[in-house]
Amino acid sequence: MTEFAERRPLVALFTLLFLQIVLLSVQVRSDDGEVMIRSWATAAFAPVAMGLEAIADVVGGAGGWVADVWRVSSKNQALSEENQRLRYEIYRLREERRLETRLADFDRLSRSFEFKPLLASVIWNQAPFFEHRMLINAGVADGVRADAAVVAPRGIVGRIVHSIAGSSEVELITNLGAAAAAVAGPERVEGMVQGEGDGTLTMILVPNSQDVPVGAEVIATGRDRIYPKGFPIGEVILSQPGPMSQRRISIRPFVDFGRLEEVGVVISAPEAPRLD
Amino acid sequence: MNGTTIEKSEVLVLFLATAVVELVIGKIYPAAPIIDLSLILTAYVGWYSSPVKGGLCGAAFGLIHDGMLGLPLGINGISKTIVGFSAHLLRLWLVPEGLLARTVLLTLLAAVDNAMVYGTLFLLGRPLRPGFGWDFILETGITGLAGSIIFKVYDRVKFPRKDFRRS
Repeated sequence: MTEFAERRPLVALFTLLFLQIVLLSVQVRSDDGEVMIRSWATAAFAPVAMGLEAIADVVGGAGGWVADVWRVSSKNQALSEENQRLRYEIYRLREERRLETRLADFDRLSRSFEFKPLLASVIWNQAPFFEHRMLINAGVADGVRADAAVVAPRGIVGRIVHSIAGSSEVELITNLGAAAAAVAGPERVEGMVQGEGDGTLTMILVPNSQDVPVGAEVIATGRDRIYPKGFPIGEVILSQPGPMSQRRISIRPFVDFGRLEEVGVVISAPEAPRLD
Repeated sequence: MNGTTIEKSEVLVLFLATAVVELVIGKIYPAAPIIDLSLILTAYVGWYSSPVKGGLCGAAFGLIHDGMLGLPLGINGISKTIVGFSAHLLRLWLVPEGLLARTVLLTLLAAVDNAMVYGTLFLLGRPLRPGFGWDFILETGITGLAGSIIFKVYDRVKFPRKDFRRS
């Protein structure tokens, strides 16, 4: 060992110095009684520790940011789904409110007439350039029979032409060939309302001598044993003398067939309206 | 003196003598530490042996000196390790003959040693007594002078004159 030290005198010198520095450091204490070597070790390690802490903060911060982004993204998606669900709920509630309003019209209708219509939803409305038909979700199982009148709060819709267990086909009053016995105006001029196939109605069998003013209300008489007596049909939009001594009367129906959503089917025999 | 070495037994004797003188006499005479005997003997050993031996002796003698002064062990040890190591290197460049030359050399070594000791005390936050500058100069000068005398006396003891007279 001596020979090793003699061959490497600087190594021996630094070894001696290091050992004495360690000896010194374990004896000397700082003002607060802390052993100096501990203070020196802390001072030497502190920058390293701070550097490691900074790196860990950066890595941890990045990881936390990624986790936050993922969490926020998940939450965002959940909120979007919730938002959509609530939006649908709002739509449904609005629709229910509108339905309540429409049903209230049917309620008033049933109070005015001595029949209670069976409410049914329109499940299919045929385009009005072929046959004026629609399907409803009430059928034989609900007591619907052929030739039963189908009405809406604003007026006559048509009649049942075919019925199966859970649905029925309705011929609209505007269909070519459909008809209803009616009276028009304050004079109650009698005639027959029939569909023209183009969304309008005409009143036939009215002589030219009978005056039916434009804007007069046309209502059903009930003589066809289909539509309830006194039920509105439409208003006169054209009234002029026609050929063959028959007056030409055009009627616009009160019901907007393209926007119907619920209809009432008259199950029992129609009665005359009460006089209030 | 060139080529002269110091035996291990001689180093041991010097070590024990230093320990006795500094620890015992230092208690009796408080002014005794003004002569840095450890430095003188460290320089002697380093001068006449090897850097490693000089450093080792400096470490050992320095620890004794710390014990005598009541300082934390290692303050004088560090400085005297460097002095003992450096003494042999100086011998390679300088060949001081005569009392004055050795006095100057030992004074410089003592100055370096004291500077390191006071510097270490300062770094450790130890308060330096007022007027330490004069103490520094005094210790350095007296150690240098005493050292050159001790060097000469010890040389005379170790290397007695040869009588070449014809009997």
